[in-house]
Amino acid sequence: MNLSVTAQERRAATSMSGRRRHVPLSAIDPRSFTAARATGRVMDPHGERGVRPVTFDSAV
Amino acid sequence: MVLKIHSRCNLACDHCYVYEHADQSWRARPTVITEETVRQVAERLAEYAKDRKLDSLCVILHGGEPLLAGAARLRTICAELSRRLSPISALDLRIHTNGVTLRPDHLAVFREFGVKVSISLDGDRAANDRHRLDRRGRSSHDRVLRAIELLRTPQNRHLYSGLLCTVDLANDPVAVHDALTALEPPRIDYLLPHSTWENPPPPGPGDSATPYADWLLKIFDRWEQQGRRIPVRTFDSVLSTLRGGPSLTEALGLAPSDLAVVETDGGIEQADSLKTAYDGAPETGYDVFRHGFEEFAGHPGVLARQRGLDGVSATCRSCPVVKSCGGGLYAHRYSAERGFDNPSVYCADLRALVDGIAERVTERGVAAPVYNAGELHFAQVDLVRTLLARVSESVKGDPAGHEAWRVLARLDADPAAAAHLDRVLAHPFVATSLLRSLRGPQDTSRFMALAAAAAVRAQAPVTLGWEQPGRRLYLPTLGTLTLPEPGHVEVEVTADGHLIRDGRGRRWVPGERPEAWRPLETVAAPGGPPLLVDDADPYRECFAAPVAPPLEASDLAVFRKRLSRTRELLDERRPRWSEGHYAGTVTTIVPLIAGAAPQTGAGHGLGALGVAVDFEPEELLRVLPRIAREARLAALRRTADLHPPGNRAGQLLNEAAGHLGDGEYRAAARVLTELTLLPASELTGTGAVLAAQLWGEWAQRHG
Repeated sequence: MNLSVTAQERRAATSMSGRRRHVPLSAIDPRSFTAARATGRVMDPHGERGVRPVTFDSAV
Repeated sequence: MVLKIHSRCNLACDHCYVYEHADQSWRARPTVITEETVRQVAERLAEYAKDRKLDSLCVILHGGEPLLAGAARLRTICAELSRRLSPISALDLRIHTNGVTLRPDHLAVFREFGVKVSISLDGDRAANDRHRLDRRGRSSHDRVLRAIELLRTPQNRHLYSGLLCTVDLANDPVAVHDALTALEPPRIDYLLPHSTWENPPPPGPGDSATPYADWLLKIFDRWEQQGRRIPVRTFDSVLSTLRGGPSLTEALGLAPSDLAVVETDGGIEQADSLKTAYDGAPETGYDVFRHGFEEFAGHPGVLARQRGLDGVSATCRSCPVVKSCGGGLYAHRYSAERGFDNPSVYCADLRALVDGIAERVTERGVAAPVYNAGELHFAQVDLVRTLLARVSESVKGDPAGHEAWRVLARLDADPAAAAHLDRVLAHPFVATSLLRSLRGPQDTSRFMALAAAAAVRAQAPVTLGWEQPGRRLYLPTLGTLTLPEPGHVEVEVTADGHLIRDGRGRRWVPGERPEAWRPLETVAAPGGPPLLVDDADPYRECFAAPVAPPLEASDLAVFRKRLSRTRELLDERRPRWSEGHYAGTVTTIVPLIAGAAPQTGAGHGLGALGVAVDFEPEELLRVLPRIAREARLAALRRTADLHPPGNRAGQLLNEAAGHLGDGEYRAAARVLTELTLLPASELTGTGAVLAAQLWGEWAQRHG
């Protein structure tokens, strides 16, 4: 696995030299595909101990 | 518990497992459950709940078609169950129905007892009419839609639980999903048609070996495009298990089944779906007049479904997706030759579904956070901002919440104030509180306190008022005010400072250090930002070990001295430990109970470290490199994909980071070598860069 990280790291560091702004809060669509994908990483696991859902197959 | 209150049905769905499959016991059952039987069921359930100290019970009214029991009988049943069970345990009453005869008088009963209603519907009219006709062969679609419209009215909306759809490959999946989502259900689920190895499912139209997976994955793609607006239980269950969480349905995963079915005659049976296997499959020989649920819980058939990995076939045990699939629905494993000791008749489809979902949610490129700590920090804050926007959707309905959101947006739009806002959002337990609000009861007071803290830091003139539920008003990153009593509070921020008022006009100015105000302490860190000592955030309880209560002044002073000593030792012996990739991995120290090992927690943002109140600086020094690696790995996983979820590469990355942190270089090399030898598809671009970085660390320290 011979990935050169140095060049990319330098470019990424350069991009940080100016103050970066996040997407304005007012412009975030929390239900967009991008937002759902991003929050999915933390929302998908339903806790470590789990919830008590209705697990019965033939009822929702 | 599923309670069959009526054993007949007003539809003749040709895919119904109750009437059209192997078990025909419905013929001998009483049509309607008697009041005596209901009383006995309630009594037995109350006994069981008391003995097992259950804090919640779910009873699903079912059939046949339960609405055929009539509104008056439904009321009697709900009243008896509530009377007997509510004093003992939180009772969750539900009903599953075809909806054909749902009327306002039924809904009046459901409103009275909080009964949640779910309805079967297979899609649009054409899809639904393939199977769900009445006894005269007429469509049920219009009648079901009328029922759903009744449920969607403002007075009944809170009872609307969801829609259940049986998969038919002849239907267009996207059209089915669009038809269901148009009805705005709180939840949807898709059931595979009940089948066994003796009666396999209908094949698909083409040559695909996994037609059911293909069908569901088309819906998954549509669901993702729509931003996952409506939860789909099957997909949520797979996603949960792929990322290490529990399964959410008995049809998937290894969670133990805790389901009992009581028939109209009081007979206690195993899961209904077993009716598809063979005549008498669900029977136990028990009934509520002669037996309790404790006996039922000990039945071999019930125990067989609680054994987790040990309860599935050898083929399933060796399958990489077993934690998500769990061997599928128990009934679908049946063959005359081997009983239930088989993979599911849908095995290939389930494997393809899990793999297909894993691949779809994996970003394969290289994400910037892996390159340096600055990018990682930026991505963490980005994530918290998205979570904040999600929470704001529900909070904005409250006038106070709406005002808080406006304040947050205003601060965010002001370049001078935005940095202060982001500093508050970067506090590790802000993420925790937002996640909990999204998963469970909304914590509006926390949302308000968050906005207030950001305004205080930014010195932005604003006044925010809300109802504070407890006496401790915690402002994230700032401190705690102990109020005389819970109630209305106002935080007023001016250019000169801020003050807090309660509903009786009493005021406190934290800048004047009144006794009631307890600021958070910091520990100076030469060459870096100060460490925050947070023994007050109510959301700091994220660690395996219990957190210590807020420290007394003398204990806090000793604790800070230990932390200062740790910093001195770090600067002497590992002066560069927190540079590069590991910068920012420890920003906030949470005191834990005496004797606890240093640890990161779960569900918090980057930077939190739990440390025992009596920790030894030398011990903390020793474990800090490992902890920093764990923290970085967890943070990367929150903001990027290192590998498709649930695969072996994930475990290897954890092990490699741990060994490097502990200075176990031989073990690290072994694990990194195994990682290198995995097929390239097992790591994303980000994961591959991370693996290369870990090799680089190994070479630096050992090579």
